[in-house]
Amino acid sequence: MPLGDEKHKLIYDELVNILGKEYVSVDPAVIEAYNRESQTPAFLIKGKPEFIVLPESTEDVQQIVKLAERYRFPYSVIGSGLLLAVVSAAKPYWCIIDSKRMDGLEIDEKNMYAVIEPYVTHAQLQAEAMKVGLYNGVPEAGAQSSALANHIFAGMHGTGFRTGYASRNVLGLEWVLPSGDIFRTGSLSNSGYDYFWGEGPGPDARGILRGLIGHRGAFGIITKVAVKLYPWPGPSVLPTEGVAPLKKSEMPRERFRWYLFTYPTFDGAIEAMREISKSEIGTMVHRWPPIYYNWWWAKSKEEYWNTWVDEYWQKNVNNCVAVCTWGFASETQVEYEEKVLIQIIADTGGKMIPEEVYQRWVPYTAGNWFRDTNGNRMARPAGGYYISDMAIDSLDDCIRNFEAGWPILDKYTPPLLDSQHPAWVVPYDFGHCALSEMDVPREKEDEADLIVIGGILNDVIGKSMESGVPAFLLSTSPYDRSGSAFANIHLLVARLKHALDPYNLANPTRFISMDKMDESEF
Amino acid sequence: MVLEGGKVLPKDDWHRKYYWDLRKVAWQCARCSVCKWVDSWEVKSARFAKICPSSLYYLFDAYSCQGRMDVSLALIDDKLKYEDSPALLDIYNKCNMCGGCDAMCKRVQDMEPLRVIQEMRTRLVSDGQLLPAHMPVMDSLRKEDNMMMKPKADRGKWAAGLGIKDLTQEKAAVVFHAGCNLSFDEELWKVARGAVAVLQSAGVDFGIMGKDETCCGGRAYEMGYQGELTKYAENNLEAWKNAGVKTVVTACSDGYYTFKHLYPELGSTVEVIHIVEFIDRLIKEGKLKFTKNVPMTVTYHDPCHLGRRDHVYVPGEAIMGIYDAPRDIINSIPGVELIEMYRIKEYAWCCGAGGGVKEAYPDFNMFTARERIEEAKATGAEALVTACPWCERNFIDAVNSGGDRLKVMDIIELVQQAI
Repeated sequence: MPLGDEKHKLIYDELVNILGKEYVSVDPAVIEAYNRESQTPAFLIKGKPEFIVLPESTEDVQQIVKLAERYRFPYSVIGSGLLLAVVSAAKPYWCIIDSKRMDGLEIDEKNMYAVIEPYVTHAQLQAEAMKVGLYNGVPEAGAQSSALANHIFAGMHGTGFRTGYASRNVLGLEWVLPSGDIFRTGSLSNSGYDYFWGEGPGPDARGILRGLIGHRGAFGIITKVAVKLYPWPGPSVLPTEGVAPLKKSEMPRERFRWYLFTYPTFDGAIEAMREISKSEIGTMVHRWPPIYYNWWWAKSKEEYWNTWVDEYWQKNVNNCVAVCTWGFASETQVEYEEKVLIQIIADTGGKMIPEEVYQRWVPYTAGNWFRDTNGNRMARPAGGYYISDMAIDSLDDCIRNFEAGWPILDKYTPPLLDSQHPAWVVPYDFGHCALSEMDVPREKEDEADLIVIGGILNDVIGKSMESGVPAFLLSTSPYDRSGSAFANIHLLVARLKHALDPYNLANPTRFISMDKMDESEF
Repeated sequence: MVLEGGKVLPKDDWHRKYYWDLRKVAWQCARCSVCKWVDSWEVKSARFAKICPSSLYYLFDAYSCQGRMDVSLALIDDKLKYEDSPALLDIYNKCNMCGGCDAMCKRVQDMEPLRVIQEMRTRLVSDGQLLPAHMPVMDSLRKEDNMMMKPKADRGKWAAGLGIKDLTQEKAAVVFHAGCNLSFDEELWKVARGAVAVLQSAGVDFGIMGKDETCCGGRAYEMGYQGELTKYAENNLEAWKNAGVKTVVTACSDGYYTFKHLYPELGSTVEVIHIVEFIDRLIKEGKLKFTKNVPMTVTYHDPCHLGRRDHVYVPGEAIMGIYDAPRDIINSIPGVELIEMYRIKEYAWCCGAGGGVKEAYPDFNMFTARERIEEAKATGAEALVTACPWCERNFIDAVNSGGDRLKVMDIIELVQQAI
């Protein structure tokens, strides 16, 4: 990176003019803190940014983007920066826009939505929403991650079965396009209206915004978004006992109940989820693999590996479906849903887990799915973890995805660590679609990562093309590489990118690398 | 790769069972940002959701624990040199060493990130990377044996007229160590006097070192000055040994932490008790009774060095500190109602005074204290009670700077109102 050359100095001076000196940094040690995260191998985050800036408002962001267009320097934006790989620097003069000063949060209690800026966490949003009897789901990334970023990226909320994949909950929003224009969508496009409605103007622009897993800032920067909130039939403060890491959280049983029941086969568990979906009962419905139980429950690495070797969770929660019912309307709703669920369990051949296992896990860990930090616990056992495969499609496709994906996982274990064919299944929108995900612990070292990342990426893309199941890898697969496996979506993405960002400055490599696209193709 | 029971396990034994290793801990950081925020389960308000003062004030990630792990790794791996970064000293020193990041990180990882920051501070000092703003305090410490930049001859004046045994002349099994702050801050002498009054009323045979008392060395250590800690530890341990001391009692949480957790590494076997533990014990044994009603709503601030830092790390075990004793004391005083703040116990907000911040970055120090005052005011309580003179002084200054009506007091002062 040509730090210190004339262009660098020019950009720096202009950024200082916009934001003030205290909100712009080019210090090497400051920059060092924007260069690394655990999910992605270090060698994939190759460059260092040259500028870190802290805007306070949409107008600040607009000025930065316009400056970028004038001087042709690339930029990306971070919320919590949990998945830095998708926004890390990869070209000279790269500017990371850190949204820490943009932490506005307003709740419209009557109309049940919240307007949030990028640096509002899920925990903050939820804490304020719960005070007024409302709720917003939390993703596996954890409640310390950015709620705005999650809603336009991969919003796999714990309550997604009922509240939907998070991006379905986006209403009006404010969007700084790469041209520097501010695009306000939905009801905001009408002067004087607020954020309550998401569609329009004209064709619903949210389709461009989110796709399935968002554009990671490659189509511009979202500076405000309204997200739907749902009724919360629980206490205004999350009930907790104990001192970290030995904490419990148990919801009032008259309104919240957990049921964990196992099946002899994987298909049996999926069939149960299908029936639960059709019945439209439950608020959280998951099929977690035993490794997940261990990941969230273990309080130390030693406990994790000893328990895994002893196979406690493998023996007790294999092919286990977990359902949490919420009495949104009343306690009677909980009673009704329980009756329906018990019937479904009986009809599908399920069996409740032993009480000892239930008490070991639910009071200490189930609360995670209301609000907690799951994803980073997964780095505890060996330094990192890896999402070896993921798909969002029908429940049937999920099953096919695992059957095709497990052999690939086996091929790379070792150096991936033991995971016993993980299979996380979450139906969204009452089962109208479902996530299938395979997460694996990984010993965080470059040598092993080189084998794994390079190998798995190629194999998964190849598998997708053969099986027709649109699996994808979140952070390591720009569309120019993987798009041909998904109905040539890379061509559509390239057209959009070219139209919105002709100079290719907004996160120019992580979503689609236009340098690798042949313009004649799109 | 290691095979055990047919399973592929990590080959580095550090991943099977945690042990301290500077580089491994810095490397392990996952950039999850849990270190910047209160434990998600305990977030009750968007306004008071942060745990890290420097992250909140300075904003750039380098001023968070996560950022310090990244910078540390770069220094350890020689990818960053001291001379590369004008901001480097500030990155390490603009930190209260409150341990909030460390406690939150341990909720989800087997790590000791605060220990990384401490070791890097010590390394910076031993490599001659000295923060100029700390120089006057350190020079004064070396000359006057205290952190308050006051003449050592004045130490001990707080005990004038109390008739307490002088352990430079006599012997006793218990020493009351006032600490630098209580010794020289006249407005807080009542806390030291109140503490010894409790000991006297309980019939404890104790003494003080008076003007020969010296600093514990803890604050200097946290600023990176390992040598000063060693020097004062050796000095204090020798003096106590000569006086026949087996137990040190203090009302200063910084001193408590230093004696209990740092001195044993230098050979100390002295028992360490904070005065709140002692008072709590007296109440529970029926030896201290409250005869007066104190109609007051109070909120309690957990000093970092009495709370989450009073903890020996064992992965998987609760981050215990002295959280309950002060609360039990408050709840046993007739008429007092305790209203908790949003951030308490292991996820409490820092007062701002620690880690050399008070000495070097007064704006940051006061920002942090003001933040806590706002949180205390949000409870509606009339008084903010704490158990550390550094916290108390910082809060008094913060209240005065903001013109607030909130009373600030040490728990001993509250106890004395009820006796």
